[in-house]
Amino acid sequence: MQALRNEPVLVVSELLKTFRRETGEVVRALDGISTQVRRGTVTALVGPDGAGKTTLLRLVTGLLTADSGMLSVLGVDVARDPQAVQDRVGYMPQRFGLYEDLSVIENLNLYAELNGVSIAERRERYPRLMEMTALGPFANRLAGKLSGGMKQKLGLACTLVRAPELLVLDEPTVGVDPLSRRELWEIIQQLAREQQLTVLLSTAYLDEAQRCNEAIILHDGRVLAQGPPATVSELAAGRTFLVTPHQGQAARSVQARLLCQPNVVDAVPEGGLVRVVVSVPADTEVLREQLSAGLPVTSVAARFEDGFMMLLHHAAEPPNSAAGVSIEHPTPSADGEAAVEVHELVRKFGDFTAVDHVTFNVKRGEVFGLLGPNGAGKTTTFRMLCGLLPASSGTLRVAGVDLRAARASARQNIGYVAQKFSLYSQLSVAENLDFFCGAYGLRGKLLAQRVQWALKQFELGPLAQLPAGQLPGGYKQRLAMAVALVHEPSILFLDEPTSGVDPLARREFWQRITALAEQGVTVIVTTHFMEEAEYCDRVAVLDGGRVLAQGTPAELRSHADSTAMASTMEDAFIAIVEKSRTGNGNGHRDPKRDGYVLDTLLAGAAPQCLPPKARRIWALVQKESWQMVRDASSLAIGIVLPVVLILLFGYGLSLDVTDVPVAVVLDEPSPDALDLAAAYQLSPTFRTRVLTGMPRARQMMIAREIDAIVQVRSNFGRKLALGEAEVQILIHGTDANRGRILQAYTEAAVGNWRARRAAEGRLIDGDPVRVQDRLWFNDANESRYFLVPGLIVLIMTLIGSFLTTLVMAREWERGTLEALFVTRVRVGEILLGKTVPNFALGMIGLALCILTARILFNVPLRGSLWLLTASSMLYLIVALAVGLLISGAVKSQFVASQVTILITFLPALMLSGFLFDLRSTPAFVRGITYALPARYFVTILQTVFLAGNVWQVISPALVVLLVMSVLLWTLVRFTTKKRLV
Amino acid sequence: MIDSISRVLSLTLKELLAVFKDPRGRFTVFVPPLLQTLIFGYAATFNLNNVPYAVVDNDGGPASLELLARLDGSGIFHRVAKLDNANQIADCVNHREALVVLQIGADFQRRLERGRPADLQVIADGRNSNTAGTAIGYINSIVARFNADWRSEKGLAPSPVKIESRTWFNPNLETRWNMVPALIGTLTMLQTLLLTSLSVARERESGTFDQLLVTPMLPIELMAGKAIPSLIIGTVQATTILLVAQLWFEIPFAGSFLTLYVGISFFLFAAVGIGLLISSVVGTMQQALLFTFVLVLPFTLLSGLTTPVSSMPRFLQGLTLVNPLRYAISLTHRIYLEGTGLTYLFSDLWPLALIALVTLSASTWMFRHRLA
Repeated sequence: MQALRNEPVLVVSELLKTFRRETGEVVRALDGISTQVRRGTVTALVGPDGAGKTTLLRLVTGLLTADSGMLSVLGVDVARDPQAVQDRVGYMPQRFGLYEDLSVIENLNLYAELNGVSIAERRERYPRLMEMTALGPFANRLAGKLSGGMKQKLGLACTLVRAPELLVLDEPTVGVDPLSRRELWEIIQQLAREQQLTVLLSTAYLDEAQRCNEAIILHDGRVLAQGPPATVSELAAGRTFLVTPHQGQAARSVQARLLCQPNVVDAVPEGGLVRVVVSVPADTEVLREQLSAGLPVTSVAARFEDGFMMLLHHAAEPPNSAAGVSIEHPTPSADGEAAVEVHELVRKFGDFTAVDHVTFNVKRGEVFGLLGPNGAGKTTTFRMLCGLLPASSGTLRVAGVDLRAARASARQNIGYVAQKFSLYSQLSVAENLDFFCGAYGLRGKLLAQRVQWALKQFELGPLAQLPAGQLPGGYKQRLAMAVALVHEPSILFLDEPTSGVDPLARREFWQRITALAEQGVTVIVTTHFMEEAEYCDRVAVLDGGRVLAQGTPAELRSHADSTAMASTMEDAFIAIVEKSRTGNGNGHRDPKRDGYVLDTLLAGAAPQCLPPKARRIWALVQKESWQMVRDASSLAIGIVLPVVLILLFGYGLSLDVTDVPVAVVLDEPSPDALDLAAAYQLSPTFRTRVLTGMPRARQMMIAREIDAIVQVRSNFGRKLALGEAEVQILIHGTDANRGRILQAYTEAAVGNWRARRAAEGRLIDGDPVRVQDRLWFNDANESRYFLVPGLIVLIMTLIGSFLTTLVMAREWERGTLEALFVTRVRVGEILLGKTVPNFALGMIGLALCILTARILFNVPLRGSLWLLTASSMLYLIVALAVGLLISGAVKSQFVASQVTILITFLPALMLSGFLFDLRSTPAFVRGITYALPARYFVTILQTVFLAGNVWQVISPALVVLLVMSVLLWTLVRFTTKKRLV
Repeated sequence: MIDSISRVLSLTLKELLAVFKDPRGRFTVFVPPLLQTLIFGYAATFNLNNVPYAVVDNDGGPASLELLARLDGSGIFHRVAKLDNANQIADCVNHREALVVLQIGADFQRRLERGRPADLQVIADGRNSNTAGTAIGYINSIVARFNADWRSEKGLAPSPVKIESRTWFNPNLETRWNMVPALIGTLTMLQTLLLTSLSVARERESGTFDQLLVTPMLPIELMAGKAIPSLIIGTVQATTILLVAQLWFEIPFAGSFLTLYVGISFFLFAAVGIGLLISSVVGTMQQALLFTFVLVLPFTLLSGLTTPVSSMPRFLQGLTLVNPLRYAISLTHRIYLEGTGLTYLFSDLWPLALIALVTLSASTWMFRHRLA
């Protein structure tokens, strides 16, 4: 047992993974790293953005393949047998792909089924998961409606639904508030303790690394250090100190000054003091003289974070310690003047009160922090302040006005950095700056000057031509700040600006904020990093839309817990929120076990009698069907469009010509001429006007009031007897097909008149050869007879290819496949799960078409229904494969939909023989049509409906479709891999 | 005012940059319209130039041989089989070997010589009744010429009524002539709607819309900045298709380019207005895509592109009145093929102007009231 325990779960040796950027540059994400993870440990993977953390975790789970090197997980070579690893590890990707249109319990059941967790196991496991995550009362809520922290917990629950041997978590606590973060950690540690689970996780929170057994520090794709966190902390031992600012002096200004000192590795405000790490061990007295300009310095035990900063300090060129920003026109500080006033602000969304009578004031030049758990109403408050959202009641003033009501020019006073990066990612840094300068009304020299200022102040110059989307995390954040400052606003709103940003970039960011505040800019900021509250002059803690506490960081710390002396901001925050929640008696924490009935949660599971494979397919099909029913877009494409098509084609669209407006022009009103005109007037095909002058008729033709002119030339009656009578027919030929039919009809009308006169013996006539035509299969010559059956091909293509492409591309786009891949589910099962519901929908479309064709439009069905159904199924199978192939190649919905329309829908309409005769197209177009499945299906459809079971026509087409379906599905099967690109 | 123009200008530049910087953007602006124009130009034709036919010639006399020779010499018909008796006709048609089968009676020659009408039976495969009708029409005109020649050869009286048919605007009744110019409106509408409706939805989804809204831009400036790039790109696409029509398919242009571009710009305003209206209603790109496709399909089908508006039942004809594409196709046909001047085009222009006015003001209103 002991031997087994010491055997490493993960062995990495000389692992190399490179990526090629769009620019052609090759990035070494992992540069030949070697490391090990022991069984039963919790190991943290830390490092700056782009260090290779996510890449390593994806390699471990078999989602990527390495360029070279060895990677063995649980004794299995991942590269050789990824499925064997995926059967045994639990993986929670950074963006856990929860299905937002499925409920909490549906998500959980899906992952339970995909991991082969039996009902009995679930019966035992669910209560524990519900207890750990407190999601019980929300079991039936859609995942999309959960707050960020709850989503994260649900992701973890889905990962933990089975007992994996190795748990891999990629930044599980990003964007999660301190309360939820603490709860998540309790879950992880409990599992590690009780079940001897091995956990490998990456994190941007260095205090979390301290809780682990082991830490691996990555930097630029290499391992900087590995060992128990204490060994990292030790690096800074004897070099970590606390500096106490003077009374009334802001910790952040002392910190800013300290950071500029050459031998300072790190300085952060902490509990009203400043924590400093210096590069060489020193004496407190020496430091007091040399460093802190006489401020008291005390020695303090080093933390993991301090050691981490030491390591990075040695590894990289020292992080830019003088990151400041200087404004060209500093606002003269006027003390006490309010920049932002919020009074009794309320915002309701339906019954839900997001912001509940919030009141606070921010003075000019202040840094004001809004803290609060996920869903506390911080962002809503922000959006109201920026004029993006109207308030339900209460007053708010930003620089003296309500931005919602004020003139647009008042917005010139504010800068705004949104929660997630929201600049144009495909535009370059310089183009983004140019544009926003322009949007703020700057132009010409002034614009160029401000762009230069921004590039210089935020050190973006060298990256000016890089698309913003490709900037490393910290630089994105700089650009967002630069954009918010180009127009020199006096008030800056920052909504979680440091979420997902690594520790180094966060420090740099706060240096800039400090510099701005010093120059008179008012800053209002929300954050999840409680230690960052230390940078603020004043903070307000929000929960449930209400302000729980307000004051300076020091006041809040004392207010929260007077006993704990060195309490951190995070402890204070948790204390305040918990006190308020239990005080109100609505604490979410107690009724963990309530709010759900276990048996209802277990309902809807796949029948236990099925083998595991069938159960997994069952679960996927079930999931897909729910999504289809809940998603308006699937229904629109699957049901609404087909019905619209059927009705339009059935009732409206036809190539038949009736009720044509024509003018009969009589050059002289002889009885014979009038008799001929009467023939037109009596015909149901024409709507005839009899005119006497050509000019008028021509004018009507140009104005498109009539489609044809029949001119009965002068002396018609007299010449008729001589056999020299003349009729001139002018056809409006713009619509060529209609023109051709029209020509035939107008000429035939003269012919019929002649025949009638001959029969009456009033005319000697008789053509030598008479054509007697018969239209087989469609005596009535109704275009509906071939248009309606032909629609089946359009509908099958829409549902089979278009819808499949969209739903599959959506999964790629939303990242839901990443978590799905690391389960026991096989590629073939995913493909089946995707296609079965669409197949069913296609069959419904078929039934709809056949029924309306037969009942509503009386289209004959001369062949067998079974043959029709079977060939439709075959075509649908081909169409589904095409859809899967397209979505596999193009993973964005927008491009995929364009490509699908271009290469499946349009050809089905234009090149299938549905409307146009293929034999008359040029050879190269005809060549293309042979590659189109739709062509063969249209042949079958028209034959089965109108001609019958003509096997000589149908069998070759069926064979081609069969061959196509086998080929395409083989291609799909081999090109779809459980891999991320 | 200058501030306002400069803000609109910078938004316009940004939009154009976003489309043309991205290789995929460049691709979607030029390649699909070009490909579609070529494919439709070649494939979408109701004209026939290759009709396989079979014949049951029970007579075999010189007259029937002469008639068949004319068919073979037409360049349109080619004989795939000579059947021995009428029983074989069914198989021949059913198996799609021939589109039409001619049956010539045993007394064909005799009846002709005696001046009695001789019947030529034509059996056509009606699986696509339109194609079959066209083929029969061709046979009719070949027979008509045969008749006239027979009469003059045999010194018989000419047909008592001489029909002289002429077709205006499209003398050979080529489908391509009306199809390709109609694509100017059809293809630019699809792209303009997609571009406009997606451009706002994309900004909403990626959060950049908020960033725009906190600038001093007015809703009307936003609208203008979103509309102008689509108008420009729409015009470029229309020009691309126009060039293909003129240079590749060599379809003669009867009207004035100035008039055509006036018409196109009216249409583009209407299309952009609809696109903006979609974008002001939807929240996500997926919804925008969906709305666009659900609208474009009926717009295309009810435009007269493939089936004439005048053949539709009354209530559908009523629906086409709000379809900008209907007017665009009518406009391009009239200007391109018929050479109609502006004075006659009022009936097509004012509905477009009205659609543009309604949609643009509705979307401005929506923007102002949904700015959240």
